[in-house]
Order: sequence, then C-alpha cells, then structure tokens
Amino acid sequence: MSDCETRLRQVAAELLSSGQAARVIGYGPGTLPERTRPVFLTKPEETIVLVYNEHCRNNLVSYLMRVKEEGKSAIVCRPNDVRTLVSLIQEQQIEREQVHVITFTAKNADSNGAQDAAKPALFDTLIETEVEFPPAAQAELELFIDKPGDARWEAFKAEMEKCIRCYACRNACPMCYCSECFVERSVPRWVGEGSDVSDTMVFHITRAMHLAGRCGECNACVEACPMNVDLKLINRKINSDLLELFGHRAGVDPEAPAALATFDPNDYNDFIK
Amino acid sequence: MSEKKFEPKIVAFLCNWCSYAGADLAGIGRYQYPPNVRVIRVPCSGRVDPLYILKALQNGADGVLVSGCHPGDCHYIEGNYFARRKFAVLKNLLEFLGLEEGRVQFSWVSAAEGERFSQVIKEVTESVRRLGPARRMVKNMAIPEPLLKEAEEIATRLEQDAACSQRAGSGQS
Repeated sequence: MSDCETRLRQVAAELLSSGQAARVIGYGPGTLPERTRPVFLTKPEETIVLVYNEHCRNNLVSYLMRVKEEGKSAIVCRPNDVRTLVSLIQEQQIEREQVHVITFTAKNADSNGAQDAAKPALFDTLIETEVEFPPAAQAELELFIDKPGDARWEAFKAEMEKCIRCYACRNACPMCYCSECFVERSVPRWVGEGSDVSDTMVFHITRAMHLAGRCGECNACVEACPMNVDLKLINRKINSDLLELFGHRAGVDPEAPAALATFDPNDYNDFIK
Repeated sequence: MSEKKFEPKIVAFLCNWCSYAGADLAGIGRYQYPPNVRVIRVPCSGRVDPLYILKALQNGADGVLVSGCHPGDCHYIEGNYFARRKFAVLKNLLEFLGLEEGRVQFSWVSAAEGERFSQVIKEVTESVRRLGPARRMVKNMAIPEPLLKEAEEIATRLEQDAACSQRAGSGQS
C-alpha cells in the first residue's frame, strides 16, 4: 500500500465519520489483477478498500451525476477528472457545495503540454502521489497531421470501421449527460441503423463537437471502448484548436464558460469568405 | 457521357435575414449564378447544427455552404459570432480527418449584396466542381430492387442474343 492510499483512506474515513459527506465515491480493487472498480462507501470502516493506482480507469464524476440529489458526496478524482467536474459545475449540473473533491498531484496534469498546471483547478483535499497517467495524445496528433489528406482519411475510416456503436464511450463520459442523446432520436433519425461507416462517422464527429470546449481528456471513453477505437485523437485535435484559436482550455477555470458557449467579436475569421 | 461536365450538388444554408435576402436581391437584380445550389432557409447561421452539415454530406451533397450576416449585423445580435466559433472548430476537424478542403465552406453575405451572392455561389460551385463528386462521408446506398431486376434481365437478354448470333454464324459456314 502506497503512502497516498493510506492518506486517501484516512481522509475518506474522517469525512464519513464527521458526517461531512454522505458517501465517498472512489476506486476499489477489481476482481481481476490490474483492474479497479468504482466503490460507493457510506461507513468509515469501509474505506479500507480504497485504492489509487495507474489502473484506475473510470472517471467517477459520471457516477456523481447520478447521486447528486442525495446529499454531499466526496469523490476521488484523477487530475483530468477534475477538469470534467469543473465543466459540470460551470454548466450548473453540480453544485460546488455538494461535492468534496479529493484529488492528487500530477506531473502531466495539463494536457496541453504546459507544466505549470500541476495544481488542479479545484479541490478540497490534495494528496501527494507518484501515480501518473499517460499524457495527452499530443505526439500522436502531430504524427497524424504530418500525413497527407488521403492517408488521414483512410486512417480515420479504419478507426471508424472498428466501432460497433455500442455507445460505451458516451455512457462512460461525464460530459454526455443529455437525457436523450441525438443518436437515439427517431424523428428525425440522425444516425441510421446498420453498420454503414458514414453513420459511425456522423456519431463520432457530432459527439466530438458536443464535447468541444468541455472535454477534460480524462480518457474514460478510450478505456470504455471494447474495440479500441482511437477516440482521444479527435478530442485532442479540438482541444488543441481551441487553445490555438481562442486561448481556451477546458475545465481549468470554473468561471470561464465553454469555448463554444461564448465568443469574441474579433474571433478568427479567415476561413469565411 | 464522360464529356459531360460534372455538376455538383451543393446544399446552402442561408440565414433568413441576410444571405437569403441577398439571394433574393440577386434574383431581382438579374445576377446569374449556377443552378447547383439547393437553398435551405434557416433563421440564423447560428441555427445551423454541425449535424446538418454532416448529414448533407452523408446524403450525397458534394458541397455545403453556410452563409449568414456579416459579424455585427446579426438579427439576433450575436448568433453569427457563436456560429463562427463552432464552424472554425468543425472545419478544422473535418479537414484534419481528411475530408477535402472546400467541401464545407462559409461566407458572410448581407441583404444588400445580391451581386456578391452570385459571385460567392459561382466560386463555391467551381471549387466543388474541381474537387469532383463527393466520395468520403457518403452513405453507401444499396442498389434498389427494381433496378437490380432490370439489370439482370438485360444481362440474360444479351447472353441469349449472343448465343443466337453464334448459332446463326456457325450455321452459315
């Protein structure tokens, strides 16, 4: 057991015994090695199961959305999960007072390559740790951009052909909280039945557009995908564009609205005739 | 048939207050423009969901044009500013993924710019014509049943004809 886990259990037990939180949402050991699963703890003695390591793959903020009406929750957040939580608070989906954020220090917390964002945008308890998660897919993005257009399209098409449209990416995503998703709309039917790759493209491009300026690159979609579709590339591209064009980073400022929910009269205009 | 110039199908989303009126003015002023555009009138360029653009491409549009009021002229004050951010991201993403540059285009045309409207349509049509028919993103439509039947009938008839003429030829010699 690492130091950070000892500290995590201690903090969680204190929160539960003092009644500051009705529950702790965290990671517990999975049924297989190198796996973890979400645990919902209500008693201080249960906090012994809490773990924090590089096998923590879910974004627990998705669960927070389901229990937000039932008292204050303490939640274990990986560094990038905090960004999704910040966006949700910004969108008034979660009240800041209703959540106690337990998060960790990280070397590559900032997905845009800057090293100055090791401190999360928002937290109640910050725990020192050596646990690290893979950095954002910036290198893969640059590799992809260097390819000619036809090769890029073929690569994208090959990724999309892997997709079985199980929508696990959407279900795992804390930012996809619409009660009715456009893919399930039948009037009009935006995403057709069957396995046509163009429908899969419509789904993934539109989901990426819906996440523009809101995606914290927590990687929950990638981890949830049973077919290993490279989903992080699209989100990385949008986030990198938003930083370049509008100086916007998703989920780092609780006061700033999402990039596409605001504008500047002097925005980039060169692409318009 | 191969001599015939490719005529692209272009879906144009025009905002009700500026570009649609601009198109109207082009008509009143008798400014000619290519008949390749299919105009869809929308209340504002901000009303155009990226999904509309994707669906147009998927269902066989060779190009998509979104046109609205100039920045600062929006009937709803700020709709086109939101649209501009949204489309900057969408256009970059589509081109990043390998969709040909120019399939999706954007313009500002005011209600007073009839001549400019015809000019924009000419430019868009020519640039899409140069790209050729859309192949990417297009939904593969299955060949309709009656067409398949007809093709089969023609094939069998041709086979029979060929067999007949062969027999006739061998009988002569």
